[in-house]
Amino acid sequence: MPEVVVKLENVSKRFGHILAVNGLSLDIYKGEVFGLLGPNGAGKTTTVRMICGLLRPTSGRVFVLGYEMPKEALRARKHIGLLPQESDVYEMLTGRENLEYFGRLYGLEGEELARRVEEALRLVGLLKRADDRAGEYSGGMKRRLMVARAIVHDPELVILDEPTMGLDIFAVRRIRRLIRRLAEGGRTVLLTTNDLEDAERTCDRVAIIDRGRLVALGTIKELEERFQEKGLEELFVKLVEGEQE
Amino acid sequence: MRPWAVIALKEIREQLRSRKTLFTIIITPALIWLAVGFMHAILFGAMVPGGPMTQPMDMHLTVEDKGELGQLARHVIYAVAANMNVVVHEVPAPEGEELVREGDTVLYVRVPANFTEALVQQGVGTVEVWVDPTSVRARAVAAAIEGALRSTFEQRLRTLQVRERLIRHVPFALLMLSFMLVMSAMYGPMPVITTSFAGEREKKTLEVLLVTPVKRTSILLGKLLAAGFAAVIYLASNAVGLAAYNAIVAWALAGAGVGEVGGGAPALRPEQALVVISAAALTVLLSSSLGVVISCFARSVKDAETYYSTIFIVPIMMLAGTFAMRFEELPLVMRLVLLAVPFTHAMLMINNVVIYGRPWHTALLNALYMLAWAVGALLVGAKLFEREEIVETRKVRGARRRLSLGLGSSGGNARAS
Repeated sequence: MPEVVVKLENVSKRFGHILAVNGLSLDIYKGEVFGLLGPNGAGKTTTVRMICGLLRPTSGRVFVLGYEMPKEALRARKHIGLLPQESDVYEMLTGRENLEYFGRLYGLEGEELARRVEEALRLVGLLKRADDRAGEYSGGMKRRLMVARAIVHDPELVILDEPTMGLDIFAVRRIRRLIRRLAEGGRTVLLTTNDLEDAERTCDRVAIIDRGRLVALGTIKELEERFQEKGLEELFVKLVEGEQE
Repeated sequence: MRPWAVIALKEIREQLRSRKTLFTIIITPALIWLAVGFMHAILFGAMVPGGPMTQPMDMHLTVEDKGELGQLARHVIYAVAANMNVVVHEVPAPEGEELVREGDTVLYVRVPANFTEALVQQGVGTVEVWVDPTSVRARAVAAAIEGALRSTFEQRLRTLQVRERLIRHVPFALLMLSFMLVMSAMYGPMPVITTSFAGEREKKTLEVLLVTPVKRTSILLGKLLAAGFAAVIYLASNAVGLAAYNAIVAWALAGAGVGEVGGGAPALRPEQALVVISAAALTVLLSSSLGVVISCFARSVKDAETYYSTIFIVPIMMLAGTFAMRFEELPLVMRLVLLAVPFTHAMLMINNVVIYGRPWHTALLNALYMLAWAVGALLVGAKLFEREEIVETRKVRGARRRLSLGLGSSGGNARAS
């Protein structure tokens, strides 16, 4: 039985009259790249925020590495790295300073901090530009720096919320390779995206959610067989109602 | 529909849907005119007997002259006083001088014993007036009395001289300087605080910060310490500026001491500088704390700056209301309102020490009140920082009514992502 890193038990989140997440239950296993797919407004970011303990579920329970969120969030967060959707970097700091700042907040110091920062920079291919101000980076470089920021403390769970959004094809391919390398290094990666190619190329399993509800869960192959569709795009269109007017 | 109409309607729709724009175009003018209205209501309404803002003012009078023209002067003074809601207390000359010496009156008029004799024999009579320059009412009444007396005696082809003296020295230039410093201290921390809080929220770096295993109180404390660093630099720059200012003024006065030129040179004595800088420091602290609260409600730096600037207009107008003004002559309700607003205490602190020479503990009370507000605002800010809304910037807290303006429905299909 693989080790469960994230466990959602019948989780719902309501904002006023809007039910953003509706009775979501799923497990994410150690070492896998798990894709949380859905159209815009499906509840992906809300789910991610509940997993990180930033939002409290209206009902149901969320566990990360056995810690209940958000009650035990401070302990769980040592093992979580997050790249939020549409996030940015501290532009007045250099790439290295950005990583050192977050490394210190995760309790890293001295040689270990320097080593981790170096490793993260190397992994995302920013070693040569490490001492330039992040404000001078291109969009793709900034996004890679954000990935480095999410892994600088060597977390067990890396959450990447729409990591390739708005990037050119070269940057997208680079990020996809990075995601695979993270998983090969033994980390669990939760990837939320509405880019189906991202999911096809990187994810071991996917969950498709629509209007806050889980509509499908499994490997892409399993889902193709179950729903008699070829390719994730056809499957997605069949299962998801989306924002069709 | 013509293109210009389409464009105009779209722009108006956006304006009506922007809380920030509505705040600026509706609340700001309303606040300004309300504040000006209250200020004028206080100044002019206080002079109307029986009016809702009526506030009788006391003045003291000594008429030593028993002659016909001395009694005429008394009659004129009483008539002006009655017209301006002023209660006249007649006192013997030594008591009047004592009141002036102690600063216990805002207006004292003396008609000397030889007034009639001088007017009849030499055609020139003199009335002595002592006025407190911090009392707007007293200055207005003194001017009205002088005008009425001159006009009365000029009709009788006599010349009236009014010898006006000040009950207390008011360093207006110094007060203006202090006012400007306190006002700039209110806005000084704005860029640092709004960038530190609303800026991180806007760029979603706050979300990453909040996912670190660091308590939110630690994050808040760290940010406030950094804001404190900026405040120290800001105050140090002001101290250097004040020193430069003093040097320039001292050079222009060519060695003349403070108080020897033009009723009081605007150079600062060290103890005055200490009070002014302390008031500015407390203002920076208070402004930063309130800035944290404001930033917790703003979705972007621009929003935070708009709220900050608009909200602070009221305290600034109140601050202006206390500028070189005798606080005691304001109506009780206004005094209570002014005392409740913490920023006012910065100016009161300066007034108490610089104008009235009151003991230091009164300034300390002003300082403690400001400090209490700053701590209170920080606690509220800390609580707001713990809310879920600090990361949830979208409007998902319930249905919002849309204004259509005849351009069709906007959809408004709010969903989470």
